[in-house]
Amino acid sequence: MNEKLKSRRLVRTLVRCGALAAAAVLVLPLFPWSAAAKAVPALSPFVMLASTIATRAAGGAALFGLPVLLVVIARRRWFCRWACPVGLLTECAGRLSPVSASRCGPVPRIGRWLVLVSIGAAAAGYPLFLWLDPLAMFTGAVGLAHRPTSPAATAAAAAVALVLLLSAALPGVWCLKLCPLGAFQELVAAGRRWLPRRLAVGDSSTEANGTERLLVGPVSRRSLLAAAGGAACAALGVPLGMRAQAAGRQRQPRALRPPGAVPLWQFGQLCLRCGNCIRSCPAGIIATGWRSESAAAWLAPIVSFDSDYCREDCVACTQACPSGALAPLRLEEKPNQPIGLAEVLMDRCLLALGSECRAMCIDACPYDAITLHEWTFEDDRRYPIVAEANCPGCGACQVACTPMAAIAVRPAAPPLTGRSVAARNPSD
Amino acid sequence: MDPKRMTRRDWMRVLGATGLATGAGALAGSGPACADPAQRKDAPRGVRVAGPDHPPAILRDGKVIQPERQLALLHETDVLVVGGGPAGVVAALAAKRAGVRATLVERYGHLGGLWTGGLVLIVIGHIVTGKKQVCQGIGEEMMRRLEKLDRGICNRQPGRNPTVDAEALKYVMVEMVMEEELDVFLHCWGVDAIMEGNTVRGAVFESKSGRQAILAKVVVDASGDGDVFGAAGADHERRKYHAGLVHRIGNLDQVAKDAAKPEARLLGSITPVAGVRWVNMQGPDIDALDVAELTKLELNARRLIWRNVEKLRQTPGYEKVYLMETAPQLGVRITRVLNGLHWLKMSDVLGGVRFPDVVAVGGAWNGDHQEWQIPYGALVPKNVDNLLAAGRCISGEPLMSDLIRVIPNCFITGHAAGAAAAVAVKDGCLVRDVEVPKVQKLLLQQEAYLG
Repeated sequence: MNEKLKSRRLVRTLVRCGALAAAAVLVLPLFPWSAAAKAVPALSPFVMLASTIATRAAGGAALFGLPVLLVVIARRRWFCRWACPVGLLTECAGRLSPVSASRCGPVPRIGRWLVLVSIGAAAAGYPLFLWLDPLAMFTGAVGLAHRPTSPAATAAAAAVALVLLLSAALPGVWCLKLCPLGAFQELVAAGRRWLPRRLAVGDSSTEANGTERLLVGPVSRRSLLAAAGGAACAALGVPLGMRAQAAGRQRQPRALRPPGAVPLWQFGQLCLRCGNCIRSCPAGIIATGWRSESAAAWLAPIVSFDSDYCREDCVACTQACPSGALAPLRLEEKPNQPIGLAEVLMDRCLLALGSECRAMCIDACPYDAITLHEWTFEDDRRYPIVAEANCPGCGACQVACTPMAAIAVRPAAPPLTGRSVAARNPSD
Repeated sequence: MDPKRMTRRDWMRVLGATGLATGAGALAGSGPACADPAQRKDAPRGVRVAGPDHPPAILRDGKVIQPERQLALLHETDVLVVGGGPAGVVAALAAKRAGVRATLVERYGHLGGLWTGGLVLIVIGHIVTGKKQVCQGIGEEMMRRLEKLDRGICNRQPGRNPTVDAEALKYVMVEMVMEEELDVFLHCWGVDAIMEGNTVRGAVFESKSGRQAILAKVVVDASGDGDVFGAAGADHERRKYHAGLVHRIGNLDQVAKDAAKPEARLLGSITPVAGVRWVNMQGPDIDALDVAELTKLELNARRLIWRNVEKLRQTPGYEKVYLMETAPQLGVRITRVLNGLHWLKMSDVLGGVRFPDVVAVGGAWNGDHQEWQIPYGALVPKNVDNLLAAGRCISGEPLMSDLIRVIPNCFITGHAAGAAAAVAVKDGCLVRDVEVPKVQKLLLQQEAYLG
């Protein structure tokens, strides 16, 4: 029997190492398919469920999380034992520790509360703590290897390092007590007890004549109370989410976010900080900064048009987002989910000042959204006018206006409905 | 009066009165040699002219007919440069300095074209990224000469767009042209090309002296509007663009220090003369070859300028500011553009395409892109021989209009055209068959920059 156990453990170790390698390969920029990195954080059923509830939409990411969820229902914590790359790393860290594995017992199961509150808040559209998901952290730390100084990468790497340190100090504390993904699996397993099941023959509740009964729900009072407590905890998340939504709606966004971004109040919490959008952008215009306009949006990605603009033939970032913080867009939908609105700075624009200018902003605009105010003897001014209905805030004009920097994209009101903007020729 | 009875006082009275009378008589008779205006000796002498110099146009059956006649020959030369703007003056100087006879003909009474007469004044488009000045040669020599004059030029620092004073530059150009002993004809409007088959042999000019011809071995069309290649039947394109009238305002050094700020576009930009600024006008889009539209623009522009200057004067503190002059030349930006052996493209400019037959290197507006090369073919018409274009009318796509019309581009293409014309004359070949390396060598000798 020892042999069987040993070989089973060996197989499991091999599979886990393989999973870690596969995750690293998917996440590092080795695949030409930019959405490959989406697979890793999307595998988390916790993220999938919370984001589906929050955005009220099942994105393509559900493809990955749903099978995992189904297996989790059948087999408790199988993901932790067989697939989780962070789990393997924490276990290795734990083995290095002289502390015994049983010492983390007294630590309360914080993970469960986090998961319950997150799901509850997700019902109000404001999922919390998604960024604590280990797969998100792993993706953020490893995926941005090509940009290690990015604040998102630094923070994710620091988080992973912290998790490993904790696991070295108290082996198993992360996986057993803190990890929201692990806690999610346990909650699912606990919920399984609510499914109707047959009692085995010989149980005290069988009738004297041998017929079986079906049990529904957990039987003990403790289980019932625990379930009620969990539901209350989840319900606590709802007002939290609604309060955040109300506060967030009033705030004027100051930074530009990638196309297809959900409103700022929701964006900060839906974003996993996984860095997929940053990595997938061919123009390299998405980045994170240490400063943020709000605490909830700290380290969430920002778009800036310093050297390039949001190309009219690309929707890579929206396809790479696993949590729906950037809604997956098709190319023809992208202009209708604007990044912002271009604004002419009349005190810097050479034309507005009466000077000569080649009006490169007009040539550069892929959506023909800029026209010239007509010069007449009655109104002798010629300057660029941005058509709000046509401008998706791609930033081409901002990049073109050098060195005057007289036109810039500003954050605008939420996307208008009924827009139908098309690029001049996406293949240009 | 009894002379024996006259006292000394009486004698003084008589003498005084006689003296006065003589003096008055002398005064009345002074000025013209004699008091009679009908006897003036320096009145302009006249020669009686009985009939017209040539048969006039006639009206026959409601049509206006110009009878065929031989035209008087005004001059004969090697290189005839039509147009005395930045392109033409540089072309003529380049050709003369290369050792051939050169003649410069200009329709106005001054040299410098739009740079002076149009009050463009500012030099934009000679710098590239890194503040490097790529437009050199004779144009740069003009700017260096202006530096020596007080109030000749300002903002001559690396990376900046210098502004010249129109009068100073008119003077500098005249000095340079007279130093080289160029043949110059002012007040002469180039109206037609003289053709022998498809070859240009000279040009026809209208002036107060009548319609006259100048024959030449090579003609450089530096008219800006491509008047010569248009008349010669060269393949070309006509464009409509905005045209405006520039004006200058003065007494801005008398504005109160704490005055309110008026609209920036009314104030324009500085000139080398303190207190004087020039104000641009973008203007409406017109066909600047349509004299009705040109007239309408001039008339309306003067009213607009007056209105704007009055608006400026009404700003508190600006009461002493006044309209100094409106430009003698209307600021036409582009009209005819040659369709030559090479069609300049913006994508080539931005892509930094290099040509083996480069004859000029252009810069960027505000140094916002790299230097770009102009191949010889952009100056050469496809279907007409012995004619070169120079200045804003060289061959290029509409997107290139703003790059080819700027002053530095005019003086570098003028330089190239003058040098190429000189080489063609010396080698006795057609302009399209010129060996470009010889032109490049000559240009480099004359301190042009070719990359």
